[in-house]
Formats: sequence, structure tokens, C-alpha cells
Amino acid sequence: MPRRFDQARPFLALGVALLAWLLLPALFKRFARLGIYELQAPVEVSASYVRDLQEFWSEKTRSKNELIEAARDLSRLNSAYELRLAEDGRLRAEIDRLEALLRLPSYGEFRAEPARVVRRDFTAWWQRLVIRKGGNHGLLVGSPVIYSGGLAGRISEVHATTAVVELISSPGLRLAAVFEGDDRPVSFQGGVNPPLRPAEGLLEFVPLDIFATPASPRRLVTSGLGGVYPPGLAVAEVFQLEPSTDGLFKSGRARLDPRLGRLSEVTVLVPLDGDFLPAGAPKP
Amino acid sequence: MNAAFRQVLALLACATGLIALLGQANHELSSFALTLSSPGLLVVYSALRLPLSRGLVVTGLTGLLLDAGAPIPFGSHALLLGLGYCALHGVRARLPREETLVGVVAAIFINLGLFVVLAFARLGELPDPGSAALRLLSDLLVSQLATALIGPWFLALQSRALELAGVAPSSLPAWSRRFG
Repeated sequence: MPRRFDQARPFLALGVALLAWLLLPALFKRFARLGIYELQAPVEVSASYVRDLQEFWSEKTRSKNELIEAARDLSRLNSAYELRLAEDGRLRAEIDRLEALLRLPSYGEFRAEPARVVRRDFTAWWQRLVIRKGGNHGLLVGSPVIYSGGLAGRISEVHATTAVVELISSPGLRLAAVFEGDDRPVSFQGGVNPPLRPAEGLLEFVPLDIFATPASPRRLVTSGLGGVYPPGLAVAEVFQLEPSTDGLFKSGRARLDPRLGRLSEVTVLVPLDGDFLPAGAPKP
Repeated sequence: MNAAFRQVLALLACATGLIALLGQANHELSSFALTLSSPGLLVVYSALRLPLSRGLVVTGLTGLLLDAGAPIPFGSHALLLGLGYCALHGVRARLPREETLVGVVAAIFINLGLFVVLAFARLGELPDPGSAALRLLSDLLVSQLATALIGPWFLALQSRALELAGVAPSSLPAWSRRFG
């Protein structure tokens, strides 16, 4: 065999394999992807259980005094939360009354589903979490995901026992947000993830009369528009706003909470009201 | 079970292990905004030691393992790893391919090649290419360091896995080594 052909043989074989792959039906590829994912899922889930066990044994080394102090702090927190719950109930009743009085459409109801994080997958191209609950707990694609610092992202894939969360720091996620104390929506997009620093997001269509500097940053929260994300969830802290090239709006940058990079537990808000389900999701 | 099948299974098991380990490392590194990846390591053993058809099958299936968990078109990693495989397979006759150092250096070069291809193809998709380029370069640097550190171990693991399965390339008859 001529030497030149011998060197091209691997590429020829790859070309034939690629052609065969392109001719395969999409259904087969989808089935293969799901099959391979589910085959690998137990490896990741087992690793997360091992991590939890490791954490449990490290917690066991704590002294009784530390536990007593933690219990005392917890009881204080519980009393504070009880007060907040009573206030929350009163405000909810007030909202219901006003909605009925003004005939306003109500915001969707959600069921909170806490889930442990199996794996954080933060590359420059995507920022995702794999969580330890999936179709077995009724999670739906598009459901918002929150954590103690506010909005974490939304469910992008649901598998049998796991689900994938696309974080707000991911370049593929855009949402309508508002500045706290203002009701004009602005566009937020994640995707600025420099090394060794917290993730940042980009803002567009910010009204010209809004100002934010590193010395006096402004808080950005979800607008509730579109019905996917409940209103008022913290998104980011805007620290830079500059007039955009068209001069009609400002664009800027917002810093995301550093805790987003260390998440170990999140809560999925599963919509209960059929009208607030993400497009394409089956009704519960 | 025939030798080819056992060889493919043993190498896929090693690849699954490496993918899981890198996944765990990335989980811990997430707060530093750094990502480790070593596609080169997943390719070198097959490209340097296995016959063409068998090596291509192992590489393709390893690529599909990566694709299944990534939000990119299914088959993208398989194609990229396939390209790396073909490039290395084409020059392996000129290399002392039994040497561990050659395997590690080849893995580092494949990492670099795939990084350049990906960066050119997809950098424009990111909203801020300037900071994304910095991030990608940092990722490449830590990935190359990790490849240099774990490369010898992973190549030894693959050799040992094939020996345990009784299908080490050097133990197979010459016709099997040539034709798979």
C-alpha cells in the first residue's frame, strides 16, 4: 500500500464513520444519548452519596458544646422564621384580597422541591448543576430553581432520577429582571465567567435614569414577567452601567453571588398551576 | 467474549473512570471558576497501541460518553476525539509509541489542538469573548498540568486493565494486532 494512502486511512475511516452517523435517524441518536446518560448517572449519584457520608462523619467529630451552641442558634432562627411566616401569611391574604378586588391575574403557585447537588459542571461554555431528583419527583423542564441567595437558574433537562439545572451564570440563559424599587424590565444574560473570580452577567436595555457604580451597586431581582420565575428573587448586584452605543438605553455588568459556585443544595419550584407551566411541559 | 470486545470494554471502563474523576475534580474546582478537561488522554492509548478499527470504535464510544452529559449536539465530542485519534494514528509509525512520555506529550498536543479548534469555532457564541478567552486559557493551562500529572498513571491503568482482561496489545498474536 502506498505510504501516503496509509497515512490517510484513519481519516478515511473517520469519514465513513461520520457519514454512517449522519445517516442514522434522530430518534436513534436521542435514544442512545438518554441510554448512555442513564448508564453513567449512577456513578455520579454514588459519588454524591459518598460525599454526603464523608460530610456526615466529619460532622460527627464535633464536640457536644459546639452542638449545643448550634441548637441554640437554630432555635433563635426558628423563632425569627415563625414571625416571618405569620407576616408572610398576612401579606399573602392581602395580595389575594387585592387581586380579587382589582381582578388581577394571580402569580402562579409553586411546590418547593429541595434537592442535593450531585455535580457542578462550570465550563466557559456552560454552567450547570446535576441534582439528585428528576422525573421520579415530578420535576418539569423550565421550572425555576432557587437557593438561599436568590435565583439559581432553571431546569433544562429532566432524567429518571436526576435533573440538570442551567445556572443564571450560563451564557445560554437570558431573563427579564428589574432593579429593586423600579418596575421597568431589563434584559439579563449570564456568561461572563472569569477565572478565580465570581461570575458576572451582562445587562441590556437599562433605562437612562438608573445609575450603579462599584461604590453604590444596585440589586437586580426577577420581574415575574413571562410567568416562569416568581417576582422578587435576587439575581445579581449591578456595579457598572454605561450608555449603550445607540444612546437610548444603558448596558452594564452585574456581579453574581459567589455562593452560586459552591451550591450543595437547591430548591426547585415546580409550577402547580397549568397556566404557568413552561412551554412544552406536560400538565401535572 | 472475543478479544476485541474485551479490549473495547476494558478501555471504555477506564475512560468512564477518568471522566468521573475529572467530573469530581471539576465539582471541587467550581468555586475557583476553573475546569479540567483532558480529551487527549482519552485518545492516546487507542491511537498509539490499538489497530485502526478497534481504536476508532473505542474513541467514538468514549466521545459519546462525554456527549451524553454535555449540552452540545450528540456526537460532537466523538467527532473531535476522532480527529485527534486520526491525527495521532497517522504519525504513530514514526514515534516510539510504547514510551509513556510519548503518550503524555501526545495527549498534551491533542488537548491543545482540540482547544484551538473549539475556541475558533465557538468563542463568538460567548457574550464577552475577552474574559472568555482569559478563562479558556486558564482552563487550558490547568488541564495541561493535570494531563502531565495524571497521564502516566492513566496510561498505566489502561495497560493494566488490558492485561487483567487478558487482551494487552503486546500479548495478542501479530495478525490480531494488525487487523483487530
